Amino acid sequence: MSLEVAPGEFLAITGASGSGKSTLLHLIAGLETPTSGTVGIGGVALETMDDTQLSALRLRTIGFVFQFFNLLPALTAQENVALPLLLAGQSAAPAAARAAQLLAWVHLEQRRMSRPSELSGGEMQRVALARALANDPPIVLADEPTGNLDSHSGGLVLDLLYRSCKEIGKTLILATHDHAVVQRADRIVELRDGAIASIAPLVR
Amino acid sequence: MFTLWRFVSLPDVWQHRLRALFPLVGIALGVAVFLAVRVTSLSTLRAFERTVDAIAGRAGLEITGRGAPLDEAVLPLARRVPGVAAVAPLVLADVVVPEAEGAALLVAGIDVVSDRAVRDYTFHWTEGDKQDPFAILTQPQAIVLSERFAQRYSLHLDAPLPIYTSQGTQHLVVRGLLRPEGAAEALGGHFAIMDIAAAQVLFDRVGRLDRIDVVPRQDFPLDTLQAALQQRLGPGVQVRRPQARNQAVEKMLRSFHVNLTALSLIALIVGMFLIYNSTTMAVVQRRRELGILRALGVPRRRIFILMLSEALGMALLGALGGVVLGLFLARLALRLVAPAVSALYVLEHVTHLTLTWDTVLIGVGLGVGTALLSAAWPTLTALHMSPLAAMQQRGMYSQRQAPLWPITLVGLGLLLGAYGLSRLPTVAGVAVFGYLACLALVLGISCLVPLVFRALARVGRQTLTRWLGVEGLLALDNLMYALWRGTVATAALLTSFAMMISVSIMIASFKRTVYTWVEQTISAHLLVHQASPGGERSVLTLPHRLRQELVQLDGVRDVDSARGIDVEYASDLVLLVAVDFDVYARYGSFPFAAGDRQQAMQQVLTQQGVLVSENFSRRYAVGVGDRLVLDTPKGTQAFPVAGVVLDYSSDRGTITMNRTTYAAYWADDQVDAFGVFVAPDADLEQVAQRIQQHFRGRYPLYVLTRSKFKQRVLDLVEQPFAVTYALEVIAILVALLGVTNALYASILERTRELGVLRAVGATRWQVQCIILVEGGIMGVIGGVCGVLAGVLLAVILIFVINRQVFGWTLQMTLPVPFTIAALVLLVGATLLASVQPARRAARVHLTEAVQYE
Repeated sequence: MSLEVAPGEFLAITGASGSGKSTLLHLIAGLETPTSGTVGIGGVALETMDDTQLSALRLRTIGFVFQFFNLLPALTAQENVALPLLLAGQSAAPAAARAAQLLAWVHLEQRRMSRPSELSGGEMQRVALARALANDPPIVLADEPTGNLDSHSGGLVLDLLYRSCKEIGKTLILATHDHAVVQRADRIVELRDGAIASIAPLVR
Repeated sequence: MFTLWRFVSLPDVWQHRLRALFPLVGIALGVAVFLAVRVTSLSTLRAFERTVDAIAGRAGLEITGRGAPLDEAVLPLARRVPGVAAVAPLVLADVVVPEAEGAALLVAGIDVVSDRAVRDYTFHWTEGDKQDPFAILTQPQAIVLSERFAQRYSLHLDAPLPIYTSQGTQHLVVRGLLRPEGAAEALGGHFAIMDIAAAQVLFDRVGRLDRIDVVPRQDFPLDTLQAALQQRLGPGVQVRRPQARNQAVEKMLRSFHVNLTALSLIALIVGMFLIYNSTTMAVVQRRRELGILRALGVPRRRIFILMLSEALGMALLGALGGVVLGLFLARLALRLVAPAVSALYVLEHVTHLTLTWDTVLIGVGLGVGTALLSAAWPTLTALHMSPLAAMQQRGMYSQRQAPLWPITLVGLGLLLGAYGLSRLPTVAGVAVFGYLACLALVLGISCLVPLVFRALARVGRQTLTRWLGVEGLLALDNLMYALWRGTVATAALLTSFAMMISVSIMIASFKRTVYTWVEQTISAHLLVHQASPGGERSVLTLPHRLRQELVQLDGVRDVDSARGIDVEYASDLVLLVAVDFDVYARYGSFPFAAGDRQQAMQQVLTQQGVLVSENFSRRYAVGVGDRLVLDTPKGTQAFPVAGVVLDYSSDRGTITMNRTTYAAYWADDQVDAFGVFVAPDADLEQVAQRIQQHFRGRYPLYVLTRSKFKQRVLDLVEQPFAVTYALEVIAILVALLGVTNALYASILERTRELGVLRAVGATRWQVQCIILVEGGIMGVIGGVCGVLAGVLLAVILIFVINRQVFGWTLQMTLPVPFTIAALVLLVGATLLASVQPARRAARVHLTEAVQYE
C-alpha cells in the first residue's frame, strides 16, 4: 500500500478483523518494521532510526491510544498522564501541572488522584487520551479507542479525539469498525487482506 | 491425575524452565549445605572411632591410669583375673616428625609377644625378607611406620628418622612399613610401632605403661570381667570399653556439631522463601489455565494435588541434586572443619567421608519437607480462584492491596514468641529453644517487611522520585503493587544477611572478650613451647625441670609454667590446668567472677584450693566454698573451690590449680608451655634467641612474644567459624537467586505494562533502570532490616545459646566497618542479580506485550 497523510488530517482506517488496521498503526508508530517499503514521518524514514530514535519518536512525535487503555495500574490518573513528560526528562512539578491541565481538558479533573481500578472504562480511555497528548505530539494514533466502551462513553472519547485534531491541530489516524467514528473523518481508508481497498474523502 | 501431569504439568514446566530452575537450585543448595555439614561432622567422629577401633583390635576392655601412666605391676595382676584371655601392654606417645612436614605421629610401644593376640599387623615385605617381622622391632632405635605415612612424606626403609618428643629430640631408624590394614589405619596412617622397652626409655615411662588392653575369654560376660578387673586393680585405675572414649569425644564435639548443623539449616530456610515465591508465581501465571481446568470440571482437590505434586517433583529432583552437590561440598567443608576440631578438641586426621543412608534420607526429607511447606500456602490460594475470573482478561486493574494488619500481627506474635522461647532451658544440653527463638525472630521480622515497604512508599516516595526520577517512582510503585513478591524475596535476603551479621557480631564479641582476657591473664613476655606447625593441637610437652635452666639465662627475671590435661568430671571431660601460682600471682591476675581475689589466691597456694571457670561453674552449679571431687592417680580427692574466674581456655570448663598440688596427685613432671618474664632492661628478641640457642639440638622450641601469642589465640577463636563463613555465603547466594527469581516473576507478570512503557516512549535503558532500582530497593531494605535482625539474633546467640551451651559471658561487640562493608556489598550483589532480569525486561516485544483483539 501507499498512503500519505497530511498534517492536521483526520484519517479513519476501516476494515474487517484481520485486515491489517492495527498493523498499519504499529508501522506508523515504529512498533513494527515493514518487510518491504518505507514509513516516513516528516520526511524521515523510520527504518533508518535506531531504538533510541524510535523511542524518542513514540515519546515526542506520536501519542498512542490503545483499545484496552493500557494505563499503569500502580499510578494515579495524574501520574499516568505525567508519565511521558517524566520519561522525557521533565521534573515532577511542571509534569504534574501539565497532567492536571490535560485531565481538566478531558473533564477528569475530579478524578486525577484515582487509580485505574477506580475508574470506569470511559474515564480510563480519557486518561489514556490525555497521556497521549502529554508531550504535545503532532500525531495521534488511536486503535479502536471506543471498541471497549458503551456508546455514551465512546461518544465522549470520540469528541475529544476530534477536538484534538480540529482544535489543537493534531494529525489523527484512527482505526475503527464504528460507522459513527468514520463519519467524522476527513478521509476513509478501507483495508482488505492487508492492502488498501479504497480511499475516499468523506462526503457529508 | 496422570492426564493432568502429562498434559498440564509437564508442558508448563518445560515452557517455564527458568521458573522451575530457581526453586530447584534453591533446594539443592540448601540440602547440599546441610548434608555437607552433617557428613563432615560424622566423618570427624567416625575417623576418631576408626582410630579407637583400629588400635583396640580384639581388646574388649582397656585399663588406664586416672590421669597418669599405670604402674607396670598392674600387668600381672590383670592377667590373673578370671575371664581374661590375654593382656597386652602399651606405651603411647605423640611425637612430631620434622621430616614429615612437622606432622604428628602416634607411636605405640608394643610387646612383640603379647600384642599379636590383640592387634593385627601386616608388614610390607621387601625382597629377601625372611625373618619374623616383629624381630625388626628389636633392632636398635627401630620404628615401623605405616606405608601410607611413609609414602605421603617420602620416607624410606632404613632411613634415619629424627623425632621431636616431650623428652627432646630423639633419633630413630625406619626398619619396616605396615600395610594400611588393622592398627596401621589409625589416625589416617599417622601411626607407628616400636618395641615397648625402647619406648619406655625413649618416652620416660620406665616402669610405667599408658594402657593395658584386655582380650576377654569368649564365653565370659564382659560386664562381669570389667567389674572384676576394677575390683582387683583398685580405684587408682580405670577399666572401660574402648568405645567409651568414642562416647566421650562425641559428647565433647556435640555442641560444636549442633551449632554447625543449626547454621547449615539457614540455606534451607532461605530456600523456603525461594520456593514460596516460585510457587506463588506459578499460581499467578497459570491462573487462566487453572481457571479453564476448573471450568472443565476439575475439582479443587485435584488442582491442589496437582500443584503440590509438582512442588514435590521439583523438591525431589532438587534434593537428589543436593545430595550429589553435598558430597562435593563435604570435601571442601572437611578442610575447614577438621583443623578446627584438631586444634580445639581431639587430634585426628580425617581422610574418609562418612555417608550414611539416614543422612541422605534426612537431607532429602528436609528438602522435600521444606518445599512442600513453602508451596502449601500459595497452592491453597489456587483452590479459591473463581474459574470465570481466572479465565477473563487478566485483571490488570483489579488487584487490591491486601490489608497488612494480619501479617504484621503474625510478625509481632513471632517476635514475642522468640522472646518467650529464649527464656526456656536447654534440652539434653542442646539449646533447642534458643535455635527456635532465632527462627521465630527472623520469621517475625520477615513478616514486618511489608510494613517497611508500605512505610517507604508513604514516606520515601517523593525523595526516591527526586533522587532517581521516574524510574525510582515506577520501581517503588511496582514493588508496592505486587507486595508479596518483593517482600518474600527481601525476606530471604534479610534472613541470610542477618545470619551473616549475627555470626560476625558473635566472632567479634568472642575475639574482643578473649583478647581482653588474654591481656589480663597472660602477663609473661615470652611463651616457650614445643608445638606442631600448622596450628594443630599441641602434642608435645616439656619437662618442668627445664624451668631452672630458663631462670638462669641472662635477661630472664622469672618463669612460670602451665600444664593442661583432660580429666573426668560428672561423666564429662573437662580441662585441668596446673600453673606455677607463686610466680603467676606476682605478675598476672585472673579476672574473678566470684570470690575474693586475695583470699582465693592464698587458698590456692596453701590449701590446695582450685579456681573454676565461669562456664564450669554454670554448667555444674559449682561455686565458691564448694568442694570439687576429682579422681586422681592417688585416689579420689576433694579440692576446695576458692574462686570462679573468667576463663576461655575450653568450652567444656576449666579447673585451675597450683603446680605443687597437681604434682602431688598426678605425678606428672611435664608442662605444655613456660611463660618467661624478661628483666626490665633486657631486649626481648635477644632473650628469645638466647633461649632457642640454649636448647638447640635438645628441644625444637617455639618462642613467641606476647603479641604473637595473642594473635594465635585470636586465630584459634576464629578457626571454628571458618566453615560458617562458607555457609553464610551460600545462603546469601540462594537469597540473591530469590531476588533474581522475584524480578523475573515481576517482568513476566508485567509484560503488558513494560510494553506500554516502551510504547509511550521509554527507552530500553529506562526500563532496565526501573528493574535495577527495584532490585536495589530490595537490597537496601533486606540489608538494613538484616542488620537489625542480625543484631537481635546476635543477642540470642551470645546471651542465650552461648551462655546455655558453653556458659561463657561475652562482651557484645558490633563490628561496624565490616557491617557497613557487608551492607554495601549486599546492595551491590543485589544490583548485579538484577542485571539479567533488567536486560530481559528491556527486550519485551512491544506489540505482543500490548494486547489487541
